[in-house]
Amino acid sequence: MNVNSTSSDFKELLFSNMDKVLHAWMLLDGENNIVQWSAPAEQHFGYSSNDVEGRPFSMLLPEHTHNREQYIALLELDCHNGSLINHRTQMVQRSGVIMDVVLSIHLLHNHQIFKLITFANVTETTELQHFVNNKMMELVERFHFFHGKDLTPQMHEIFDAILVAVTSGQGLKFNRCFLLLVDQDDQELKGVQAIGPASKEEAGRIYQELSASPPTLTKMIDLYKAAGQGSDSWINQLVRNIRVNLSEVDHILIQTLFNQKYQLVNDTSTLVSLPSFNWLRKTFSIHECLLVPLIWHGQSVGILIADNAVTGHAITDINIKALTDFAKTATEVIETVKLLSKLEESITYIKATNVKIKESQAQLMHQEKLATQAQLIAQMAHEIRGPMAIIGGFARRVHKRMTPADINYDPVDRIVETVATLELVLADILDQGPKAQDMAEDCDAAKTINRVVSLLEEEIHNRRISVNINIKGDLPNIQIKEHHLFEITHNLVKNAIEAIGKDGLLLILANELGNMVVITIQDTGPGISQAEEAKIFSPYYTTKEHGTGLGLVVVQKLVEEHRGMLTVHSLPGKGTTFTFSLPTVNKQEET
Amino acid sequence: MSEISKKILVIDDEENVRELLKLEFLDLGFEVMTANSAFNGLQVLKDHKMDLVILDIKMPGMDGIEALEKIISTQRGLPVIIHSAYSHYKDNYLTWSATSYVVKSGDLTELTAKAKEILANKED
Repeated sequence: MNVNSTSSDFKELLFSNMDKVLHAWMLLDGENNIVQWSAPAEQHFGYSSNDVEGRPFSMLLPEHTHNREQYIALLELDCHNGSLINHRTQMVQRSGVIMDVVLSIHLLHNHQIFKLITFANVTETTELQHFVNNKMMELVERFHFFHGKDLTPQMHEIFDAILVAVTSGQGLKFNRCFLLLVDQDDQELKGVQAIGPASKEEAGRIYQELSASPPTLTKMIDLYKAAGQGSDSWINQLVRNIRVNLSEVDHILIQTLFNQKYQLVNDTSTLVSLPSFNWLRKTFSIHECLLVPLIWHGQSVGILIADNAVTGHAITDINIKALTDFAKTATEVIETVKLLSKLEESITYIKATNVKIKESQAQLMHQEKLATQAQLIAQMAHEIRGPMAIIGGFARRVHKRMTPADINYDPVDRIVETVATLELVLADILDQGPKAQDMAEDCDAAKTINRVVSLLEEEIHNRRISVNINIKGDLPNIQIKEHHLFEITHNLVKNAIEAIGKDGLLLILANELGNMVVITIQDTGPGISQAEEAKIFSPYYTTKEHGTGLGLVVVQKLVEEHRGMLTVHSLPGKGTTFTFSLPTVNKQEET
Repeated sequence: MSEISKKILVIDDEENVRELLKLEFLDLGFEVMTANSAFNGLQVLKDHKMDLVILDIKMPGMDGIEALEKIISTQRGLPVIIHSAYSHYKDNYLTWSATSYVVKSGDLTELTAKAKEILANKED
């Protein structure tokens, strides 16, 4: 720093460079009249200092502006710590053209309050944002009508809209633009879509067509589509070949993603030492391009690469500002479309699930209907069986008292026969429930015994009973339904536990004997006297306070129904042993 | 068959069934009483000593299963034949304590055979 410089020199230095720092600015006095007017402001508005100085700020606002005269006074109220940053509004040029601007106000206190106003013209990006947003709204609307279809074509259309906005003469005026998006599933940055002429010749042709009748941006998209699929697909192929893993942190594209700041790639770039730097220039055959990360809620979701490969124009600060501004809109749109696409997938999934549910519902209803019908038929058949028995019974009585010579012998005989046939039909419908033995399934005795014991474990533990289970290995299966075997075993084990009361031994044995499995349940309870032994299988006989007296009846019935045997052996004072045997599966008797 | 004829009680809400069984068992030489409900049947059993009960299941009011339980707990040893148009009550273990289960039929052979067999054994 030069020690001879005075503070006024610094002020002079600062003031003379102010236009570089602030671009466009103006100073207002306490009455909100313009007192200082910058050169960039003159460029933007077309007024010279003489035209505006001493005149009110409101002259720069469009006629229709709400509270036009008090506009700045009202903004002053919104100032925070003496500033208001990035206020969006419209201002009007001398020629009457309305601009979209972003302005900031800084209150400067002197003997009165001066206001420094800086602003940027964002008309272009605002228009592009509208254009792209409209495209997206169009898409959203179509999505509402056509959901169920693949959204990919629409996604490409919206990408096209973004890329056209970057490249068109009405838009940001880059020659080419490439879109790359982060694929979270593959952890890769992938090239998606590109737009731009393949060569100078083609660029010339397209620009000529465009200058003949300046088209709308929408028309531009169509023009690009029509302008030779070859060139378009060449540039698209180029971009789609780009795939960079997110873990390659040294890669220029990945660095741009992580730094979340734009990168101007040219000879002056600080990244020139990166190996991927030259790769990038080689791939796109350019010496300069602009990388702008697309940031969504703080996360980088992709990159726009723009260049002037055809015209070779240098990328200016204004170009950079415009593209970085536009990138925000582009990101919003891309993420919305991705969201729609995900929504689409969910809708498709939900629809498919819905169809399945409806199908099974229909099936269920059909089955329910059948079940209801079957129930109705059964009920009707029962209603018929009673009277049929009466008709048949009386007919037989009459028939018995007749001789074949009797004139009514044959008719009554026919009645008896018909009723008998009808009863067979009814029996077919009603008594088809197979016998327990026929319903039998293969059943593993070891499993059932263990299930019973584990179910009664708490009681066994509380009564301090030790249990000894001894089951022969490879026991063949028994022909019985599991819940029937469970019922038998459970009843006998429970009886044994209750007989023991407290402190004792419960022994459960399972063995194979011939074609039977023999299960023994032995307790160290008080035993049963011989007189009692005869009664225990009678219904409702019980020695228990809350017993039904049906437990052993059920056991006996079940064992008998499965062609098994049940025996009891008791020594009073020593304990009781119940033994039951049931036929095994593999060595069935012939019946 | 003994000189003193055995007494059979038919409990059925259907009049024609009572009539048919009464005639049939009278023919076979038994004494027959009838009751048109489970409740009335139990009343008869209080006042008369019976040798066999033929019991319908599906009856209005108290059904045969409930009646069976009451008969067995009050008149131990009195045989009961369940006589029903339904066969599925066989699966209900509450009916297992009956001496026999016969599905109603125009052919009374099974019922009368069972009755005779039970009553013959009872005499032993």
